[in-house]
Amino acid sequence: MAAKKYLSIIVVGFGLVAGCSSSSDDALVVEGDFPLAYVKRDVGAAGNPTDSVIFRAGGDLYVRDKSASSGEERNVTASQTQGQGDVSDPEVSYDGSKILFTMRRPGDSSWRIWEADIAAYLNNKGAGIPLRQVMDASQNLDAGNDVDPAYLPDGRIVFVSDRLQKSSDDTIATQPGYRYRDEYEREVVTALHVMDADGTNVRQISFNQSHDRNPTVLSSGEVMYSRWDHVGGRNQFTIFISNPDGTGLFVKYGAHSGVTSFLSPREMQNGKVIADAMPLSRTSEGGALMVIDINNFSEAGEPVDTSVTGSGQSQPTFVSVDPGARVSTTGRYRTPYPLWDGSNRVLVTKTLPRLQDVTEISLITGLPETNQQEKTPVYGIWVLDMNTQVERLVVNPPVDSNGDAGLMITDPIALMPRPAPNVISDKTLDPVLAARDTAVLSVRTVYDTDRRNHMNNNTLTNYDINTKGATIPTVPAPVDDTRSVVADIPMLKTMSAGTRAARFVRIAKAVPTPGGSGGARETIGETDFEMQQIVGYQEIAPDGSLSIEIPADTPVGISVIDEKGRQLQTHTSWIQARPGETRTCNGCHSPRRGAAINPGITSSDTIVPGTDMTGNMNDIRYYHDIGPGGDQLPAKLGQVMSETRVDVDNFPGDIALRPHPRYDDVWHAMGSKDPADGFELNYAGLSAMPTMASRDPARDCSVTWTVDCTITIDYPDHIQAIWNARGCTACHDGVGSGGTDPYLDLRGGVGIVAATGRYPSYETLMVGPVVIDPATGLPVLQENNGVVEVQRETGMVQTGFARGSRLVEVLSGDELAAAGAANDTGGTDHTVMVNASELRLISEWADIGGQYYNSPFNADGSSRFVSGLSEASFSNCDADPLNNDCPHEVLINRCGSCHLAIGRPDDTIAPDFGSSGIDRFVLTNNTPGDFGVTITLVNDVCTPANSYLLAYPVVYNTGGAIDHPVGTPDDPLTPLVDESAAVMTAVEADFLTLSNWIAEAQAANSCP
Amino acid sequence: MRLAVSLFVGAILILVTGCEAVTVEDGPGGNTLCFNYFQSCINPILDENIAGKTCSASGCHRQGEAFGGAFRTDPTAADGSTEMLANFISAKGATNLNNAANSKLLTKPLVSGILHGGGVVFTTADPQYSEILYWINNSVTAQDDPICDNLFNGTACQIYNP
Repeated sequence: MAAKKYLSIIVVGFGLVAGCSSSSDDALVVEGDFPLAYVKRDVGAAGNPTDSVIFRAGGDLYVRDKSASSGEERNVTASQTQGQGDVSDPEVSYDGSKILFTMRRPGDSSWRIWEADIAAYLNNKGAGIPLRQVMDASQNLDAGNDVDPAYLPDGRIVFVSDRLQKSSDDTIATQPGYRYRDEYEREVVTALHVMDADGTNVRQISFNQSHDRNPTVLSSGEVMYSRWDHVGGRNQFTIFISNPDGTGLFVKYGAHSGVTSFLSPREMQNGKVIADAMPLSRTSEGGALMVIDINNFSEAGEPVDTSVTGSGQSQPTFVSVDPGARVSTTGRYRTPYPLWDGSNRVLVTKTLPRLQDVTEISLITGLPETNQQEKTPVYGIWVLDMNTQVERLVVNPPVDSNGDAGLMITDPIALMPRPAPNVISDKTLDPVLAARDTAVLSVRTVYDTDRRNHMNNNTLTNYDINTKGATIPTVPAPVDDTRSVVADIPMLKTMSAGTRAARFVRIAKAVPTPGGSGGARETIGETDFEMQQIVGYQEIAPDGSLSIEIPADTPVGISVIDEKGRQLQTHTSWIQARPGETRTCNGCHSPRRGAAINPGITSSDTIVPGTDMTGNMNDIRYYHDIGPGGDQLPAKLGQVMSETRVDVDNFPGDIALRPHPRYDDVWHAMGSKDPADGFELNYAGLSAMPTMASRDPARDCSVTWTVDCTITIDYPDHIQAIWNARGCTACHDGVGSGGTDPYLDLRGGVGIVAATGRYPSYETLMVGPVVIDPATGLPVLQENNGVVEVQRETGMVQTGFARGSRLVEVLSGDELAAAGAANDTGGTDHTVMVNASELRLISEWADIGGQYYNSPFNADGSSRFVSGLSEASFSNCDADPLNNDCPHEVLINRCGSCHLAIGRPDDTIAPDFGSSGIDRFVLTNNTPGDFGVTITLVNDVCTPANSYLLAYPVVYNTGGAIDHPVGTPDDPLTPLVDESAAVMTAVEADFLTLSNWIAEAQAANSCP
Repeated sequence: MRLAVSLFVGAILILVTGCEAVTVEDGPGGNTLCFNYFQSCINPILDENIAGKTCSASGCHRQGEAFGGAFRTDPTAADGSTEMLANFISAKGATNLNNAANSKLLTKPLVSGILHGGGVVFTTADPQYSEILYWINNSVTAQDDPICDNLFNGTACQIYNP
């Protein structure tokens, strides 16, 4: 082993030398040379995983006759690009005779897929290399950017495109048609598409809210790719697979393996996968090489069964790279291409570590800090022998005198044949469902869960356990199972409905945002979630099974909810199904390998004598063993309870989603029925609610369920209506009437608008109090992309989780997952203030993300937008920092002596931040940060003087809810405060500067 | 509501010229699988009660009723019928001609590194495994099919081992 390490170090050193000299001999040839292709591109094109399409002029495709620095290089695309185009993503055909690649020429409006015929070149280096644009002009070349092509073994081509061939068609049906943006409201999303070899018959096969990238084909014939898996706080690139027709889409690896982004996954000859592992940004798409044993592991620590040990992933390089580091001291790798010649080698793009020390002023401390940063990478091409860990330089980019490279050399492929993968023909799909543009989802039991505390007793709260008496019984796991215990399905079947944790399933669909003003972050609100709309509900059977019809070709989320419409855990992934497809899952969070824990009806279940009519196993009638009277639905072999219910012809509802959670005890005979039989949680208790459809009332799921209906919850229309109808604003009026918390302002409506352009009630529910460091008494600050932010506790609403929301606990009286006792509400019983329908709606809204708007368009088709205060006006100051000519200067100079968290004249004396727990005003002298915190105190644009920002400083010693503290005369930090007077008066210039700034937003917000 | 029975023949050309004369068009990959062997030897396995489990059970993969993923089979299919052809197409769609042992038609009932709602149906020591593996390992060309006599050991569904 020691000798091996020594050799590797020597060779890496050689690589460095060789990279600086084009005339070096290629002294170390581990295996035979081979021809290869790669691209040279502007190094600025090495973006982030979240950048699917980047154009930088100056890119070209090259072939090289041998994998050595002495090889002869030839520019394949120069005649097309003329130095002003760009080329990327080459892929070789399985017989090694052709190269697919994507190119954008000067004058092209988009990237297009091309094919180079290199058969003649491989035999004669002087031969021509014909080029063919795969699509011709009849294929709407300008419909989008087509990148990342790969050959399917049947001759078709899978590729990535932002043309969104079907998604944009779907949006036309109910919205103005648009190609939607990623979940940062930034780039148009790229999805997988398939086309015939001649560029015809283009069709979209993947449907995601953010990018799908880097498709290649496994030996099995399945398409493997990297999916931007982003819902709420989940934000990563995970390896997915699907069939070439888009059916069978499934996460393959990397959702829980300690790596944020797996890019460029490719199958190796030994059946393992090699990929590039990196953070989500700022690494020039470089990271660690990672070999993944996808056949024996579903995650790094999750083997397929107990016979497999070790980890599912390892780095094949001699020197490892931290896949999570923004600064790597060991260089970076990207775009690996494993060879299929039995040598266990991989072509890979690599940069050696290029570090520099940079001294900057810390935005948090205000002090100079020296940090190590990476310089621009110098990406060249290397061959890594994974047997010896020896790396050999093949192509190094030209560098200037500083060692910087303007071009990177990347995306290498070996021009050699490999066995064609298995052909997977398009699947036979159900024509009735396909015609309805729907699919079937069947889950054998939601209690089949992995080891991450999903849907087990750790999910349950005090309310579930102590009030409902709920439990999820367990039994020892089967012998080969990697879990110690699994849910006890027979026991679950016998439990009464009232004691079951999981009662209903809710389906919500992603609502893509069109970009521009519609769907902008301010319109969506103070949440990490994007817009969502509820599609419907269905019952979860006693054994935890569910069988439902869902919209096809649509990212949908599945939530398991309780009897009050609250999900038991936040759903953070999208699934898709093609039209007519049936998706079957063992569980919602089950291990991705192995047998289901719910076998359904087996021959050991009750058999009714005399019903074996034909002797065929399928005609024997069984009954799910659910206790006395539980013999009302005849079941068939293999069926779980939801399948039995759907299979019984005379039962209504069956597979279709419903507008409301409803439970019917179809299993027991009269006299043995569950006490909850016939229970429905509907909207009947809502008063004077507007339609729940985003634009077309005929598509309101809460009225009539149809395939394309929606329950759209827009905060201003639906949630604010509850506060207004229930008189909540009589107490929660922003001034603390009746001794209530003045910061809990539940007002909203025409002429009642906060600084964000949204209702003050929304702001007060979503923005939590400042986190105070108990050791210093100072607010805890953090830097986020150049903005100093105040850390805040969770607001009254935990986005994506009603059960974690204090608001829901207070209104329901249930001890759920939020901090604090549910009944600790100052002696006022809030459980009588809303009814079950209203509580359902509030819970639904919190569960899907707590968005302000969940529809990007108004009823007339115009884009939603909110109009808040201007940061530009806030900081529009002249050079004199003391003349208070803009709001920011006023606040720093008049309030900073107490409210400035950093940069104070004497940091040894801490101001009294947070003694009341509600002080939200923390200045840092960072303009974006101070703007952000200031607008949280502007809760009334139409009457600026009523906003906290101006209402507080003009009062003192009131003894009421609003009572600005006065300073201590001997406190050097509060020299301007006089105990006998307010810190500001309503007639002075500084007050008017602030007031006038707030008033700027009045016109756009219909203030009276 | 029952799911509609679906049959999508796609690129398959059917020539019903009698009880068992069914011609299957060559697949895009060059080779295909023997329809006759499937009909005589593989389809019965799908309807067989194997230690209490049956692939074509209503709660598993029965065409028109079941929810078990993409693989569907009709236990009422008669020899030479379009239903039998649909069974063949569905089964073939779960095979890997490059690596027979890696076919989902085998890895699913083995629960070998894959999810299977129905759990373990047979093991590699069982005859059902050997017959299916043999069928997939012996892909044929369009010229061979549908006769592919060489796959049979006489008329029995035993693995031909000269």
